[in-house]
Amino acid sequence: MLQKKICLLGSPAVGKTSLVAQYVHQVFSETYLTTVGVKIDKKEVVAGDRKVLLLVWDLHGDDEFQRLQESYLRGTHAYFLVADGTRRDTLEHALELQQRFQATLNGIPFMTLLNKADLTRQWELDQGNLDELQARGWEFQETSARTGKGVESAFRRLAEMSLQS
Amino acid sequence: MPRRSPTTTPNAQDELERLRELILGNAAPERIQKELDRLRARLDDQGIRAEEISRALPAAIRRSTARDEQLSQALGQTIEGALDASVRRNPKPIAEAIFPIIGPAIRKAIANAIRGMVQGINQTLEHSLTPRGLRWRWESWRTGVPFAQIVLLKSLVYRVEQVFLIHRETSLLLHHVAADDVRLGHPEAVPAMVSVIQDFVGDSFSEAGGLQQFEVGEVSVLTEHGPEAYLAVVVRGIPPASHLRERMNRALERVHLEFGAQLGNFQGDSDPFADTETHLESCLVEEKRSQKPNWVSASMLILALLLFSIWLTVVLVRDFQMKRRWNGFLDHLGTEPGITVVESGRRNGNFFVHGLKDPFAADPQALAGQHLLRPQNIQWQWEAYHALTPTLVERRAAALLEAPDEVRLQVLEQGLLQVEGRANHAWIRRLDLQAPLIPGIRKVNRTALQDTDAMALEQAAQDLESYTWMFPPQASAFADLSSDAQNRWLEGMERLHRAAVRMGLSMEGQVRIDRQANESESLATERWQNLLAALPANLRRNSAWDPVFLTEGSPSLQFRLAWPNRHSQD
Ligand SMILES: Nc1nc2c(ncn2[C@@H]2O[C@H](COP(=O)(O)OP(=O)(O)O)[C@@H](O)[C@H]2O)c(=O)[nH]1
Ligand SMILES: [Mg+2]
Repeated sequence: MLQKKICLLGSPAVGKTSLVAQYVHQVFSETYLTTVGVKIDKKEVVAGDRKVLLLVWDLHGDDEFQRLQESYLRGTHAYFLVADGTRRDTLEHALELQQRFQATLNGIPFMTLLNKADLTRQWELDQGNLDELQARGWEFQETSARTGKGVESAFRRLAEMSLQS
Repeated sequence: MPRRSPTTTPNAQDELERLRELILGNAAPERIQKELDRLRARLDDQGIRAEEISRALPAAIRRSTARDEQLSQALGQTIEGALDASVRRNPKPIAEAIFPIIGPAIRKAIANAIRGMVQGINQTLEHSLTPRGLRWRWESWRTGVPFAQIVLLKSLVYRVEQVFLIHRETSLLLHHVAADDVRLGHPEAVPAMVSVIQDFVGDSFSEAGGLQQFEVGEVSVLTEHGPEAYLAVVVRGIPPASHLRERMNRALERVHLEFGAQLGNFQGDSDPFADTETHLESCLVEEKRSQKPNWVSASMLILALLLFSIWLTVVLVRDFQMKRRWNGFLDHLGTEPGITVVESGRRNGNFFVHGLKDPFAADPQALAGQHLLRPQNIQWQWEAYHALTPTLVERRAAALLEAPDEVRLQVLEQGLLQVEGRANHAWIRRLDLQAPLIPGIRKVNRTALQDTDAMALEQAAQDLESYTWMFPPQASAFADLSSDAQNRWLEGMERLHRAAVRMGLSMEGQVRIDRQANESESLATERWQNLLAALPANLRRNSAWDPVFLTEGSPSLQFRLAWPNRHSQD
């Protein structure tokens, strides 16, 4: 069996947990999450005509109460950088996190998710932001954990990327 | 190749020639012909063709298989058919071919099944009857976990239920084994959880070398770390200190030794690690709680049960017999004259009888004895009454009348007392007085009862009648009888007197005077006096000897019996 570890990384409340919930059924409870700062789910996908079992690590956001455990990122085969499209600063924070964990994450495929795409009226990101991502050569995708838009395809794409790593 | 037509024009001939040159170059026609013949021969000769195809076949099959599954599908049917035909014709070769595979597989399966079954039965048996067993049954019922499994869990000191081989870097599961009857959820997510806990604790409490053991609910998780991978075992019960860790380390070393390359290149594909199975299985150890052989207590229990059932049988049989005797006794009482049972039964294990009893009825205690019951174990309560059944009346009459031996009493219907036999006069008088007063007797019939005294009196009187004391005329001294006759007369007088006394009769004498011979009364009185003088004293004293003078007949002296108060003749 082929298994891949993937992580979700981003500011608190950008919708990481909601994205996973949208994608898989939960394995560990919310209380567990708050104690140790991570929630692990699994989901089988077919990527590049292979069955892959994704072990999804939902890292609890980085805030004043709990620091993000770098050790949780170790060995990940791919990761999501998650930002909240209605809060511009969350995108900046995501980039910052990536920089902070450079030592661990260097060379590992990732994808940027611009979540809460259903909240079009509060949307703060503009073409400039997207151009900037494009200029870095990053893959990004708008998602909505509420409507499910882009979620399934984002996970499938990340699974494919994990295969190439 | 078609032969040239003879009718072809020279012009046409030229063109053909040119064409041939174009196609075949300027090789000599003979050589071409030879080449063609060789080719034809190769195609026609089956032997050569087979030889060539056989050389090309393996490569062709490999290539075809790599491209798609058409060949496999095509061959599949043929091979199936061939196998089928072969087995039908003679199954032996194929059976022999697959035997080395199937034999061990079957043996293993059977051994496993038997081992599991025997273990299950043994433990279930051992634990079925004990109080602890019952408690476990209750737990099994409450939790829905099969009883056999609860027995297994409770009778183990510890048991390694699952072994996880985990890739250190990614926390992904490399391989996993579990004890036979452990139900599995999702082993793939467990390694991530285990490593999160270890990292968390390691970071939070700076535990050196990571966490080696932690508890999750009822189980403990033990970890042993290697450079690339680590082992996590799930243990139910109290895990042994060093023994298990030794095994884990040994297994981990072997895995690193044999799978070093795969571990280094691990990209999430766990398939190569299936071969670590035997190493992981070496960690599936368990230790049973040392249990006193329960056979001892079981046999004690069986013995106790046996004794108890014997005792119970004895008690029940005895009780049954006792009841039967009791019922027999009650039936007997019911038919016994003079006894009427009003209430009977068993109170606090003791029998009791309440009822009415005639004083002349049979003794109930003696009856109880006849029925093998102990009278002292029975509570008696009798009210006295007079029974009117003939037997009882008869018995009462016999007791009250004290009938002599020669008397037979019999009570017939309607209270008629029939008296037969012989009795003295005094008893007959008592009968006449008392019998009508006895409860249950209304009439007495004693016509068949002989009065012995009356008979004696009669006999004596008859005997005496043959004696007549004769007096010579005008003489007062009577003519002498022989002394023998005199003695017999006296004896008769004695008897007569005795009987008369018994019957309350008195005697009186008669003196007859011969008037024609002018005999005077004074002569008669003299004669009377003489006679009396001849009688014994007691006869003289006890009788009212008043002479009655009669004038008819020859002068004589006779005696009569009479009631003392009436001077009438008997
Ligand atoms: N409208 C909308 N709300 C979202 C979406 N994703 C998450 N949320 C909400 O955002 C909040 C934070 O989400 P959560 O998943 O806990 O964020 P996390 O801290 O990154 O795990 C919750 O109230 C979610 O309901 C989304 O796609 N659209
Ligand atoms: Mg969350």
